[in-house]
Amino acid sequence: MELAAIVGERGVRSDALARSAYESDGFMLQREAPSIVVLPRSTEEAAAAVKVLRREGLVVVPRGAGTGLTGGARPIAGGAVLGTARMKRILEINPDDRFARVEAGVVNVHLTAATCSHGLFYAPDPSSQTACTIGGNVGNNSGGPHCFKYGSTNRHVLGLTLVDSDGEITRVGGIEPDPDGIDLLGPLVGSEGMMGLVTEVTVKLEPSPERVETLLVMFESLDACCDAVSDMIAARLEPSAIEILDRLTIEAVEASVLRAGYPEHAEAVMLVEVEGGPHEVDAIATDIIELARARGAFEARRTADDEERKKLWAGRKGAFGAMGRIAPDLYVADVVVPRTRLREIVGVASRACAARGLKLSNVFHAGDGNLHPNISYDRRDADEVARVLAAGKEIMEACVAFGGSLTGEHGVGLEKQGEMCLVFGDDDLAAMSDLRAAFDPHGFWNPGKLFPVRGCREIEARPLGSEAR
Amino acid sequence: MSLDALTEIAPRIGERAGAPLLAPRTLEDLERCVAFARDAGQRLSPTGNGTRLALGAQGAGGDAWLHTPALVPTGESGILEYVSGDGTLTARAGASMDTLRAAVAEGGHRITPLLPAGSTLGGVLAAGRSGPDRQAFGPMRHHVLGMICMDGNGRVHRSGGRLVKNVTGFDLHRLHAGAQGRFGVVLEASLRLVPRAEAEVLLVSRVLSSTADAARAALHVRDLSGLKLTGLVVEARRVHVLLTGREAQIDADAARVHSALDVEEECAGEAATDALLGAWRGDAGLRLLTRPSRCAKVIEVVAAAGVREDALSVEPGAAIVVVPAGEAGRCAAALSAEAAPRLVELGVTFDARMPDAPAWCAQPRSGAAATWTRRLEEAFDPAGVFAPATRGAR
Ligand SMILES: Cc1cc2nc3c(=O)[nH]c(=O)nc-3n(C[C@H](O)[C@H](O)[C@H](O)COP(=O)(O)OP(=O)(O)OC[C@H]3O[C@@H](n4cnc5c(N)ncnc54)[C@H](O)[C@@H]3O)c2cc1C
Repeated sequence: MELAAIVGERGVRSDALARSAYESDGFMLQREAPSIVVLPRSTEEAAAAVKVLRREGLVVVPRGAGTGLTGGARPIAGGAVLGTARMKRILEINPDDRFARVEAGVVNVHLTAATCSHGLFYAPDPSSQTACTIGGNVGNNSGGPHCFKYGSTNRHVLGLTLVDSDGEITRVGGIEPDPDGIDLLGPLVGSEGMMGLVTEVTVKLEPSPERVETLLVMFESLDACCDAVSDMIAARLEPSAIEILDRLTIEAVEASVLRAGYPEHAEAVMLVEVEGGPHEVDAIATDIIELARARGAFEARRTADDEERKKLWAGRKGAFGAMGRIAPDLYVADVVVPRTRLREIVGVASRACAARGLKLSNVFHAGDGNLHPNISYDRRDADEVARVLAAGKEIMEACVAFGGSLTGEHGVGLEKQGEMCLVFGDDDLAAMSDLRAAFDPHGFWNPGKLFPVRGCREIEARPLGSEAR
Repeated sequence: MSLDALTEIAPRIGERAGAPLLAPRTLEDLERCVAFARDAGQRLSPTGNGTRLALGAQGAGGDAWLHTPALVPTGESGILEYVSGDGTLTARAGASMDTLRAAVAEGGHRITPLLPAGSTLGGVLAAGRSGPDRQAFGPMRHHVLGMICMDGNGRVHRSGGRLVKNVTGFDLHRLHAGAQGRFGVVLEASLRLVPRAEAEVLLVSRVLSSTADAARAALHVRDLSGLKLTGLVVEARRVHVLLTGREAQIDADAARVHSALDVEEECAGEAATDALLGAWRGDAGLRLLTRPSRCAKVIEVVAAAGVREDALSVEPGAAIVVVPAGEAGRCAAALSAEAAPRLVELGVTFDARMPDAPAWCAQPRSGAAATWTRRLEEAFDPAGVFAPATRGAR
């Protein structure tokens, strides 16, 4: 009753139906329902709820829209989910000082829509932007196609409000673009919900470019397409996004409602966005096409038409969803490599899946070296699930061997905690654990994530206390 | 006595601000120095080339300096990896920024921040220095991809990596960037590089009637639709606009700036960046952090308090008003009487990068943020080896 008095009757749920809705995020391979779901309407309500949950001995998983792909937004064993679904207000848009202040539950695309009439936009644009929240973007330091030019979420967050494990409310950062001294904000972005609940975020807005062109470049081979991207990076060309879609992805998109006009006879397409002044756009687009042709591109289209551009991007952003036609489930891997090694890792992924009889498609942020080998599977088939996970592990190991890393934007969560030891040693993990403990000495927030169970000081999830309701 | 023991581990190669400058040559030496200081209750300050010393760098006045350039093997540049095809650079903290700049320039890259010569990579990162190209590229810390550091426990730890995009693990390097060595010594860092532009031009306005007017004019240029600026600085009541990019575009953009600003001087090519850097005095002094729309007001308050307007260095787009080092002492005195509270009312925060900063400039953290900071200090430096002289004196 105490929680209901704080967040209202509609803000606390512990019935089986509600709990099952929160038993996984976009990482569907594993599930575990929370004991209780709490949905505050404000920072103050969240803080008051935290005090009650803490007193009752529950651990808490912060949650936005639950589109995360690593299990970060679901509990490992009961406990509470504290969601921002009812904190959706855009609090301020300041065109003069180019920032916006929003509640954490604001959906990414709603912010962009709200700013465009001011000639501004919010740059991070995850493909899930029609559903994911700004708080979730902060939690995972999310990227998106245009992060090639603008950088991931951590380059756009100026300040935030955090509710910590004592239920204290603290503003970190502000609106100054380059504050002085110890940066507490930086480590909080990308902390995967393990240091507190973000309830409000102040973000930087970018001025809309004068001209935007989208290029669709077609290849007869995925390798050649990858090589063309490596060439563009080496030539220091500066478009704002460079994405690759392979044949299977193209077919899935073209067979869906998102039909974008991608050529079905191409083995791969490169979707590039170029923006800036008209002369700059023209010069960069010309150079890109020239480099692509040198790598065997058989056709390149340029368009500045808004409708056509939107269609091309809707196809890209809806590609994961369109893959539902291939199999009921999709394992979206997320790895990064130096951009000199794109072709090699695509080859590794292809062999890892072929050897296990798995269906692989690729759609990824090529310009950032951020690959998404997507493996279609059926989760009811335990053997197939095991093969998917084994292929995923092989791809991660290869990435690390190539000088890459485990995740470019989806985070570690539950999915990759075992592989953290491939990248970091015990001292590194201990230092990260110290960082976390400075914000959350109680291990109250999202325990059991990110750190490998072996070789780190992660506080075990505590036994759950009685439900607070 | 204990200092002698330290110099046995790391030779004394000079003196800075009254404290010995020690040169550990290997990681093991460094670790032994830190262990020794921990046991003996001594305080050490990591240092690069000491370019910030005159500005009241934190740590001045510790028992000894640890000279990070000594960790770069003799005859080497300190570059560990420059992947020109990936636009990334990894180097030892003691590497000279000038050397790094020259090396990446050959591969067609530039390091942001653009800064005056003389510093080391670790020094720039630890001091959290950004340059006048902040308008385009944002603060320095946004370009740090990863770091290796040694903390006060002697623990060497790594975060991030060498990749332009990577969210594996927590971003501890963001904590070290700008922490002035409070949590340890930066040993190695990786940076995202920016491409060198095909064309560069610096446009400088005539002297405007006041610095506040110049700031307004600068913001007017910033707001010209679609114009992409690399640098936007007001120095001596003149607006400096740095444009970089494709040749044809820069010509068109320069023409637009001309139409919005009474441009008196123009300088093209590599000299453009050098000229901006030559004019820019915003690196040190008393920094007043505000918001772009309040820059002019802040300048007016500062001027009304008797501070010479020509002395001010302003980056209106980044909302920074700087009273340069030479003037800062006088200015601080002028401001302290009544203007400082007025500035606080305007939401200004202060950052004193100068010796003998007045007490009212300090804005200590309070509440939970203070607790988090204390816990970080306890975890990364429990014995206070890297604690600044002004705090926690033992
Ligand atoms: C189809 C599809 C496409 C995608 N495309 C991209 C892409 O292009 N780029 C990309 O980066 N990601 C992408 N993702 C992954 C996902 O959408 C992002 O990670 C997104 O930022 C998650 O937001 P969310 O609101 O759904 O957060 P959730 O999934 O609910 O949570 C994500 C993490 O953040 C924490 N968290 C959530 N809210 C808060 C808060 N308020 N305070 C503190 N911690 C919090 C959670 O505990 C969890 O660890 C995609 C996912 C899908 C399903």
